[in-house]
Amino acid sequence: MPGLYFQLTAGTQSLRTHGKSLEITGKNLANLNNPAYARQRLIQGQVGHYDTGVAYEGLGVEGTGIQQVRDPLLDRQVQREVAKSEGLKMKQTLLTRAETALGHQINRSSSSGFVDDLNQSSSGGVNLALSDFFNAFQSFASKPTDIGQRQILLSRAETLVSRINDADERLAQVQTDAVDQIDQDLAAANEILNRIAAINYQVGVAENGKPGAAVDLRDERLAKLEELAKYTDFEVREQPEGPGQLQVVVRDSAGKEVLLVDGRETSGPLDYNPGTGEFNSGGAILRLRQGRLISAKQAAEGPVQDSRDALSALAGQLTQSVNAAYNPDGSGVDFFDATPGSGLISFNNAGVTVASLRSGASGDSGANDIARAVGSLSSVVFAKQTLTRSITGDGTSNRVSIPSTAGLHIGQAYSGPGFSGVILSVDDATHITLSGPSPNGTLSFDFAADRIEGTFAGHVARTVSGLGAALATVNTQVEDQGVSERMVREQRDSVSGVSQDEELADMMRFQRAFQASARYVNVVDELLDLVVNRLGA
Amino acid sequence: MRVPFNALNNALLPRLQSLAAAQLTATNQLASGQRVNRPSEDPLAMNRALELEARKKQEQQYFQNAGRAADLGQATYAVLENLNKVSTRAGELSTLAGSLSSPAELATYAAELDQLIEQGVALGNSKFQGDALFGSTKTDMQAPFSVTRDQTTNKVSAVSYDGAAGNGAAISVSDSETVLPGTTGAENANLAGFLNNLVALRNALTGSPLDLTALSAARQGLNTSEDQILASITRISSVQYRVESAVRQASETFQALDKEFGERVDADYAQISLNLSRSQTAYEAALQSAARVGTLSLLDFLR
Repeated sequence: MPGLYFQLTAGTQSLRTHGKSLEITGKNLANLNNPAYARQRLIQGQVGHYDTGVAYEGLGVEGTGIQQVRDPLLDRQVQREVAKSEGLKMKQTLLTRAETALGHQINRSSSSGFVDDLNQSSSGGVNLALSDFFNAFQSFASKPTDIGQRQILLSRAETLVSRINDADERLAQVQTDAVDQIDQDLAAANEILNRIAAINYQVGVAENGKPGAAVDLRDERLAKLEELAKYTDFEVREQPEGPGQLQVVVRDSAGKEVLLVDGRETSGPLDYNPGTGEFNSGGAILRLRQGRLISAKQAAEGPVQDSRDALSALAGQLTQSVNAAYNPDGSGVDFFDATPGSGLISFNNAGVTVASLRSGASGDSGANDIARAVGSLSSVVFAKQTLTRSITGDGTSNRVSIPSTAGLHIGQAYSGPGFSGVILSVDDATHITLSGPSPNGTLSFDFAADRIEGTFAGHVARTVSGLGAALATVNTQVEDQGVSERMVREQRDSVSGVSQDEELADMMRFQRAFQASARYVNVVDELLDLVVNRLGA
Repeated sequence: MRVPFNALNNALLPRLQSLAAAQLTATNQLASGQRVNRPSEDPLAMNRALELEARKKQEQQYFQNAGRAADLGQATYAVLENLNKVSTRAGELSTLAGSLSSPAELATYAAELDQLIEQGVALGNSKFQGDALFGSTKTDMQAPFSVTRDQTTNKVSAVSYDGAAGNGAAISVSDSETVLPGTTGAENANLAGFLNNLVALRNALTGSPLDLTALSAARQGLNTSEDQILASITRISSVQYRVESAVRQASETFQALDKEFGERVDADYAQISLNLSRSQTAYEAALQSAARVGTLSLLDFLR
């Protein structure tokens, strides 16, 4: 049976234990604002047991370990939500910049409310430049000899060309920035992967014989995993042969596992090939689904590229249609360069000058058939489908009859057995004029598919609203995802977060326990004093 | 339920940001008067608004074109009216002239006809804003009607039309409608015929003795020319009517487009003010409640 000395030792032991509890409470309070920190608790247990003859009793309390209050499932859920959130935010950033690059805003103050107030110096996007360009041709047609109208027309053409090319260049810059961003993010992700491997090593050393003891290192590692989740989605699992050692796993294009981190080793840096648009690591082509890396690529290759393709189609259709209307027989100069020197479209400013601008095919100063034909292109409805119609001609006149002119328009290319050219004019519901000779009799002609669908203005409106819709969707997703991430974080915080009230209550509890233990030591001390100093005196 | 220390801040901050964003949006909308500024705010509205804006500009252009057509038509009409007056006076002179007229009277009539011929040629070579009115598409001609003069008397002996034979420039006043506000090449050629009929009448009056057959033929020719001038005036008038109709159409279409444009993008001030007030109240309440909750702590009760 233990004596008073043993009880004194047990009292001292309990003082140490309660002191440790207080110390951990202090540490919890110190980390009140640390989101990566999980609250800790001292696990108390008995020093040992012995048979007192009355019962099998403990030999006193001691701290057997520190418990980190965490729910691994919630931690993984947070990582997944972070990957989704950051991916969407990256898309939002790039698409917002693309929206700005496209340069279309509605400004009510610059949009006239009066029919007689035609603003000839509109600022804005491609749509207004298009309207101004075709309107300038209409004005030119109504007064072909007016030098001022000619100058305005050339200026409008230059403006239109620069608006289209500038918008495309700015969108291309957004794509370049996306690739730069991917490079920066890859560098950050690789650094995190190296750090996780290093922490794995430190955990291995610290927890040798004491599994789960390196709580602060585990906190740091978890924080790094959450940081890594910003860049990509991944799976985490314990190394089978090394407890406490984590593996970070992603999948390749075939769904096979690729280890980015395996304990204290990293498999090879994450890399991106802009040429192929593929992410890889250690020779494996990765299939990333969430996070900033894949989202930057998706935004650049998706809606941003779609907008550039639409601008390219617009430029191509403009060049083809305007040139066909302006230079119908091909004997003169084209209005836009058939092959632009730079950008998507270029104005033939060497061949088309104020003096040489053509208003009519006859060359008469007041003729305006060409100018009207170009001006009327603003109302032409284009279609991306090839039309086949039978043509009846007399072999001499270029004017031919056709069952229906629906879907046909000026400048549209045609081809038939031994015939090819463009439509010079749609004369009425059943007649068109060809640029070349007509067949003597009836033949089947193919009319080429256009590059755009609908009118020029409609195409631009759809391009702008398409990008706007993509951004609007992402904006909504970011908002919704923010709520999801917040809910999961709140759920995790309710388990792992530090509660000030709880810690202060614990502090009082441990303080009282410490005081009680101290009092117990006093009593034992008094008993010892009685035994040692006063017995037999 | 455990409420960790950061729970209040974590919950409050997104809410405050959301309310602040709502206030910013409402303020922007009130300041700009627009519900939609950027495509992502309402892609569908933006799509329609951009199309409407393009259509509005097109209607403005048609309105302007119609104005130009009206000006050109009015100028042509005015000249044709004057030519008709010339024709009327020539007709009167041809009626006055007859077998009972004295040589002096006939000489007076012939002298007046000389002036009418000169006036007619000048009218035929009228310009509008620097362009020849009756040259068809050859608007840069100084004189579409050239004259041949008698070398001794310097009087006009013949008039020829040197302008274009085809129609003049058509002007688009809507997607599907064009108008010819000026005269055609054929009408201009008729004007030359009219002027030559004046010359023929004058020549008939200056013959001695009076050639009644030539006078009758000239009178007949003048009547035909007058009918042609009146036909041209009637056609120009009908074109003017179409132009006026096109002006009204462009104006009404523009107003309808502008109205729809407004419905798509304009701000509803009452609704936005209400939204602003609501988000301001919520923002204030969130701040106040957070401030009150934040002041209470167990620390205040520990000594």
